[in-house]
Formats: sequence, C-alpha cells, structure tokens
Amino acid sequence: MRIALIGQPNSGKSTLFNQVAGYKAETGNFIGTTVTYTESKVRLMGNVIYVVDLPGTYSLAGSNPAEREVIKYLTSMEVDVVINVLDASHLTHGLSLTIELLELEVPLVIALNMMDEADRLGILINVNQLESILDVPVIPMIASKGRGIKPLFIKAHQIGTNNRIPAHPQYSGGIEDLLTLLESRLKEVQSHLKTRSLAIKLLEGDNAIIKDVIGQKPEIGPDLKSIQKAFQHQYGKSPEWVIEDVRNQMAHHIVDRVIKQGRRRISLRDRLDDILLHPFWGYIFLIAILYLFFQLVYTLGGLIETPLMTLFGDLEVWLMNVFGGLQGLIIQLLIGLIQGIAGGIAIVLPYLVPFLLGLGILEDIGYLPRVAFLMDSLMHKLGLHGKSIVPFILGFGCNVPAIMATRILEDKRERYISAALSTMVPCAARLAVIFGLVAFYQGPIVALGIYLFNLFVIALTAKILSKIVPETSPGLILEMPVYRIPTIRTISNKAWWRIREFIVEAWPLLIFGSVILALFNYYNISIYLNVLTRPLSWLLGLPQEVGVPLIFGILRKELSLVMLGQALGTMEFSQVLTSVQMITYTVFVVFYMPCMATMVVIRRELGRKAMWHIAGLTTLIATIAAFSSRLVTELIF
Amino acid sequence: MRNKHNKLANTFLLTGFHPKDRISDTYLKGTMKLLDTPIGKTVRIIQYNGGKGVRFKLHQLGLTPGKDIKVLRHAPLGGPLMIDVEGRSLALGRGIAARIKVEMN
Repeated sequence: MRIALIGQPNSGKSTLFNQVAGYKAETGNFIGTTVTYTESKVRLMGNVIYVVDLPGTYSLAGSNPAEREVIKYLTSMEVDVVINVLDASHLTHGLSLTIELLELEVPLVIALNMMDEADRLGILINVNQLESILDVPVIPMIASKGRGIKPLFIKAHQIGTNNRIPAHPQYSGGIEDLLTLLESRLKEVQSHLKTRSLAIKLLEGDNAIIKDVIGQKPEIGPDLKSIQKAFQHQYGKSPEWVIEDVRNQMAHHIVDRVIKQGRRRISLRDRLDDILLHPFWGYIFLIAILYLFFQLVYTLGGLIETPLMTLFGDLEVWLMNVFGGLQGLIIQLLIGLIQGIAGGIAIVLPYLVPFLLGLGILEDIGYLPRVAFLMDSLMHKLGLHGKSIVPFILGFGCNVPAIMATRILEDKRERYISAALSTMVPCAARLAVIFGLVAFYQGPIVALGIYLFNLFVIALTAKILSKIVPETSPGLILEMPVYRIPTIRTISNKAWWRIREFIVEAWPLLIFGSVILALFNYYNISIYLNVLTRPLSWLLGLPQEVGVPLIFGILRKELSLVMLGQALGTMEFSQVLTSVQMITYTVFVVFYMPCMATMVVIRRELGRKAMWHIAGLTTLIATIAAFSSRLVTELIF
Repeated sequence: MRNKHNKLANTFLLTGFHPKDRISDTYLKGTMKLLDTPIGKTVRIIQYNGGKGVRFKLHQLGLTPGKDIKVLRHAPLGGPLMIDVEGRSLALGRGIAARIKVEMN
C-alpha cells in the first residue's frame, strides 16, 4: 500500500513524514521534471507500507507545473490513499486545498495537525462535525510531539484497503448545471481524472489537460469555449476565479460551523518578531545569528578536519615508505585514490554535517523567511531577493553547502544566479591561497584589498546577470510561519538524506577525478597541460608552470598553492614570482572555475547545463579580473 | 451514489453564493494602496491589479477581496511589508503592495 502526504507549506507535513520515515528514505523526481518527492518504507502492524512526502502546495491548479505533477500522481494507480495534513490553527486557509482534494475523488484522510498551536490560540474545533461535513475521517494530532500518528496511519490503511472515496463537494445550482453539461460531453475521453474533476480542470483553464482532451475529441474545444463564456456572462468572472471563490466560501462556512473561538494566550513567541524584525535590532540579531552559525560550523569543521587530514597525510607517507618513493604507477594511483577519499571526508564530515544540521534548525525554527524579509531591499539593489544572502554567507566556508542552500530559493532564475555568485565567494581553501601568497608576502592590507575587489566583482556580476536573465517573479510574496521548536528527528533525518546524496553522487566523482589526475602526473602529461594553458598564463604575465597547479586546483582549491610550490621548485615564492604575479595569480584562483565537488553539486541541484555555464562564466570573469588587476598593480608596484 | 445527500453541499446551498459581487468604480473612491496603509491599521482588500500570476499567488495565500488585513511592520530601506491575514503573517514586496487596493474600516 502506498500513502501520499499532501499539505500546504508550513502545515507540518514534513515533520509528520520525518516522524515515520526511516533512514533509508529515498528522494526522487517525477519523470521529466524537477519536482521532487521523498518516499520511505514504514512498518504498520506487521504490514510494510510506503509513505510518500509530496512537495508543499497551496492549491492544485494545473497551471503550475509542480502542482500538475502532484495531481497526476495522486490520481494514478500508485497511490492507495491520500493523507491531507491540515494546520488546525489556520483551518480556513488549509481547507481550500482539502476541497480540491475532495474534487479529485480519491480515498482521503485528514490529519488535523498542530492541535497544540490551535489550543494556544484559543481555537476549539469540533472534530466530529468536521468529519461529518467533509465525509472524511479527521484525526487530530501533534506531529512535532509524535501524538496521533499511529491512529492516523491505521485509519489511512483502513480507508485505503476499503478504497473509500468521499462524496465530492457540490456547487450552487448554476455552476453544477454548467458542470453537468460539460461532463456529458466528456463521456468517451480517456483521462487519469474522474469525469467530474476533469470537467472542473477544463473549466479552470488547465492548458495541459485542455490540450490532451481536445487531442482526443476536437469538438470539445468550441463546447468548452461557449461554457466558459456562459460563466463569464453569468458571474462576471472567468470560471477559474468563480470556482476559486466558491472554494474559499465553502471553507469559510465549514470553519464557521466547526470552530469556537476562545481566549488566545499571548506568549513570548508572538513578541519575538518585534525584536528579530526590528529595524535596528533585527539586523544586529541577524548578523549575530549568522556569525554564530558560520563560526560554529567552521570551528567545529576545523577541529575535525585537522586531525583527519593529518591521518591521511601519515597514510600517504607510510605508503611512500612501503613503495620506496613516489615512482611507479601503483603508488601514484594509490595516492590519487587517498587524496580523493580524503577530499570527500574533509568536505563532508567537518563542514556538511554541522552545516546541514544548522541550516535545518534555522529552517525549522522559521528564521529563514525572516532573513528574506530583512535583506530583501538590500538584495533587490543587486537584482536578487532577500533569501539569496544565505548561500553567499555560507560560501565563505565552503561552496558545496552554499550551492545546497540555494534550495531555499523557489525561483529557478534566482537559484541559478545565487549559485553562480556564491561559487565566486572565496571559500576556506581559497582563503589559504590568499593568505599563503598575498598576505604572507604582500601584507594583510593587500589581502584585504583582494577581498574587497572580490565583493565588488560579485556585486557587478550580480547586476549584469540580473540584467541578462530577466526577472520573472513579481516580487516577494512569502508566508512567515510561526516560530516553532524543531524536532531532533526531523532535523537529523533531513541532514542525513542530503549528506547521503553527496556521498553517493559527488564523492565517487571526486575520487575518480583524483585518480585521473594521478595518471596525468605519472605519464607526464603535466608538461603538455602547461603548453595548453600558455595563452592564459601569457595573457596574465605568469610563468608557464602555473598551468598544472591551476588545473589541479579544480580538484581542490588549496592544491593551486601546494602544487605551485612543486611546479616552481620552491615554496619561497618571492624568489620566483614578482608582487604583480602573485596578486594576479591569486585573483585568478579566487574566481576561476568552482572546484570539482562544487561542480558536481551544481549539476545535481541545477542540472548539467547550469554547471557548464557557471564553469565557463567564472573562468571568463577570472580572466578579466586577473588581467585588469595585473594592469592596475603594474601601475602601483 | 454520487448524488446522495451531501452535507457540504447543503451548507453551501443554504448560505448561497453571491456572484454579483463586482465592485463598481465609484465605490473605489475612498480607497488607497496597501503600501500607503499606516502600521497597525486594519484594512479590507477591495481588489488587486496585475498579471494573472500575481493574482493567483495572492489568492492562494488567502489574500482575497473582502478580507481584513492588518499591517504589522515595514522592513527598513524600502523593504517589504509584513501583514496579518486571519492570524497568518505574510511578507509582501512593495511592488505588490502598491497594486493592492484597500479601504479603511
């Protein structure tokens, strides 16, 4: 049996899912789309059932591609019963989705979640009456505390087994007449939808469904047009608005009948926004919270990374002793393998684990939408929205979590631009290059200058990109959820699933790339690489030996410093490089092509095309930035 | 079986749906933009202008004509507005807030 969870954003649907899902839950895409769902096996009274967490959705309008996929899935043979998660404290709003689900005529159970929240707000719900009005079982529950979950799934199992389909909502006379008329024309049409819901979707102007139906039965086209006209004539609005209004009114009438408003308790949480969104203190807290988050993640990361890397270093030394030096194909391959494994561990354990846990906490408390609210006007000046600030800040530690953090942005354009920009933020590895080369030899002021120059280039790129990729979203429309205390299970589950994605998809590629580079090294292909990159090193006025460290730097950015020493034959860089060359080289390293782990994550999050775009774009920017800094520094030094 | 007595339908038929709730233009004279509403004031939504996408999104979030909304705060430096609709808090960009027509209660 397969149970699908559906609910509006912030209804606590994912909390419910995480309470029942095991660590093996799988994330997948609906075929041919980027719409993701998560599925987990759950044991229930000796039976194994599948529970699917669908993306949060306000409605089931077919005009939205994600919502269309959800409709298709819900009405397919795969789903036996649907659980609609409702936020009891905001029942009116949630019920509009419930009414749409009733129209689909699928077996349905309602999880009336957040009963504690409703209680706090003094909302008394007559559950029995709600049940009888909707003709659907309603199970009150508190997902965050694990209450009511078992009865919910037992009920769902029972409804699914009996395939009990609730009665669909009935509209007022005029609308029903027009619907019946349309239904009579749809007799022989094949669809995953029931005739009645098919008629409703057609009236609502769902283009994909209209196309499909007209493809099967062309004469429906004119019929539909005339029925839509009749609507317009009779109600003064097009059918989708009339139907939408009716649903809202139904929700209101239901709520009027089942809810009694008692006294509301004002608590600290109601006052929290007065501080956290204060025009002055709000920003102080924002800086403090993000600083704390950043510090926590990267101090913790450093604590774990250093001994780990020492361990791997020791292993390499031991291997070299065993094989008697670095000559020989096998030792080279082994070292490459170890470096790939170490690279993955150095990213995953120290940075990704604390980062994903921290992000999960900020997300579940409800702070991220507040960040968007506070930063919206500033980011707007760069052509972006408030939430884009989060990936930028994280990028200073490691670009991999930064790319993952672009998930909090709903808009695809926004995600793409934010991802491209956050790869240009100098991560901890590039910090090592800036410090080892520029701060050490040229002084901290010059290093600071590189940071400022970096910010300037990012801002400029943001401006240009937001001009090239035109704005599609009309502006911020965002729900600010009530502050909630997250559950450990939800946060650890979410973090684990994301880490597993990295381990399964990005890490093997990192190891593979590392071994390939070891092969390059063994067969002395490095020399040809220097020739290949000669045009670039010539343009930037750098010795041709920088080709190899730059190419290896794509694997891991700190290699562009370590291998520079090997390539030039000395770690005393001031003997072989001029000040101008050091600065030019560092500027190039800061901007060019993201490291391999980051690229793999970009491919995973935004697709292969975006990965190549961003790689090309950043290399172009790096060349321009390094060339102009060469010209400027030649004048100064 | 489909046409069996349905309580939901009943609720609805009793209260009725008033389709002729279009607002005449003269009625709009005492209105203002949501953007210009002072903080702490409760106003009622009259209508909104804009593309289908925006209207639909606002609709989905429960910002339908006739609803009472309270302006909670403005983000500084020309940032978005935070409003309260039926106990839920929403953030709205200024561009969108400028398109929503409201009247004082």
